[in-house]
Amino acid sequence: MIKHFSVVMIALFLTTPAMAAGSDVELQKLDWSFSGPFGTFDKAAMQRGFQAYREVCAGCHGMKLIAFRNFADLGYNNDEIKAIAAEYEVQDGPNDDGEMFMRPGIAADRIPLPYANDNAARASNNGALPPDLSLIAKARGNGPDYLFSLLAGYKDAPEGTAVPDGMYYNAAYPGHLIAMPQPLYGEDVTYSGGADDSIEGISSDLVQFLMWAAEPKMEVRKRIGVAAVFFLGVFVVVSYMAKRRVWADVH
Amino acid sequence: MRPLLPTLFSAIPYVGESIVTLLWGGFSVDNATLNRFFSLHYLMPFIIAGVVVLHIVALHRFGSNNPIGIDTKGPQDTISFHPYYTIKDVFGIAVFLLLLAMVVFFFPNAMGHPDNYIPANAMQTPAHIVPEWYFLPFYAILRAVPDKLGGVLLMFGAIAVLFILPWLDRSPVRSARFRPLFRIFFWLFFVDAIALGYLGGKPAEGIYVILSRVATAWYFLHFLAILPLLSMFETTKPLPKSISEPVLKETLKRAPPLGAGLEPAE
Repeated sequence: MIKHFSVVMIALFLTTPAMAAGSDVELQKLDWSFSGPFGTFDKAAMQRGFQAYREVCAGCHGMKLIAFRNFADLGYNNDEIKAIAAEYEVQDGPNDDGEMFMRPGIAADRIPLPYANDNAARASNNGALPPDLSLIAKARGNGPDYLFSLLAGYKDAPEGTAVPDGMYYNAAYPGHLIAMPQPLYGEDVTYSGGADDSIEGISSDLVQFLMWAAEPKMEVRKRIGVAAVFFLGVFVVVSYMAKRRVWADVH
Repeated sequence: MRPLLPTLFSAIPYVGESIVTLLWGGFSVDNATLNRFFSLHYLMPFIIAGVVVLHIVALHRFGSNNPIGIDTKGPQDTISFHPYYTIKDVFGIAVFLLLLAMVVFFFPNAMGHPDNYIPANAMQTPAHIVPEWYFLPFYAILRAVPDKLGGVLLMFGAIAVLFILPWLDRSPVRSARFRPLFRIFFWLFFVDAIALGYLGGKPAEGIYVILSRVATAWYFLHFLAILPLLSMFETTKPLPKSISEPVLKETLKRAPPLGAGLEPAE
């Protein structure tokens, strides 16, 4: 029975590559701090990633599922979160006169979006819609590696590849022609403390931040998982010994 | 993916379109479609409950099967359910939970698609539509046939053929343990089904189409030709006289004994 079961499990995992997006791009494989069963997020990198998101990405990409209070996960305390939120202007209302008004953000607000709606976003970006980044790290195959390769993948088009106006050549993008202009050139963000501000350095900070945004509870999931697997492992051994003892008089 | 199902009926000649309209409750997938398919799925648990009752009735009437595939001859052939099978099932469940926990906690997205994290957009379908993994073998069969009606018929036929299995495999020997040729073909069929699942997830082009045609042909060949022929011509090994016969003690030392009742004789 066990032999058959393991065969079926192996078969299931063999069929899963069917789900991976098939394309002609080579992704750079990085060793992320959050991969593996004991993986955790790098808080300092996430804070830098948020800074880079705010100063570079947020001009076009919203993160509508993330509220300022969620930044507690990044290692900010309440006062710091309130200070960050207050730097944003948030629309509220209607007031007693029926008018909408702007006020400084509070911890409970979501990060304000760069565009009022999709049409406004398209109108400002040559008809291309910048996707929301809240879940982007899980909404692409091999999300973290893909995002890193994409951000660091802007290159001159090879001989014979025609790049139309408003499109850019990217080694990691499926089809290689992407509507997003190169976002990072290195030294785009001034990090306090002298962290790596090359294209690769900022990209990997952004990936830490975006992976956290896509799955804020990942560390808890893995922590519970280790405990659950340990408990069940002991349970398997004990129940096998009990089974052996009960069946001893039959054999 | 669910709206795919009614559209399959449009392959039926003459009345297909009307049947689809009937199933949709309109001329396109709409609220009415959602309502009726929701009620259909709500009905499923009750059907399953009914089948469970049938299962228990059959179990009490005919007893459990066993990997040897021969009937019990008396009390020396049987053991009580408790504690023997309860404790064995506890072990089996523990192993299953361990594997499940690994998938749930460390690979929660292994069977999913990145597309599921993109908000639904009625104006834009994903680039590659792939069914859930458990439908992939049948999806491969559907796509292997160039004709729409033929593909749909074969896909449903792949399930329907299981219902006439007792008339296809007429071998008097129930267990594969005593059917050496059947064993070989069983594992070939196993590989074939996995291959179909793999091919179902691949784009329908080039070598994948040819391979899925071969695999589909083998799927039906196995049921419609190989099984009937095997039961006619195969030389089986001699059956033991009873489950408790000494010859069986040899088998028991090698393999896990008497499967947990629910395991069918291959």
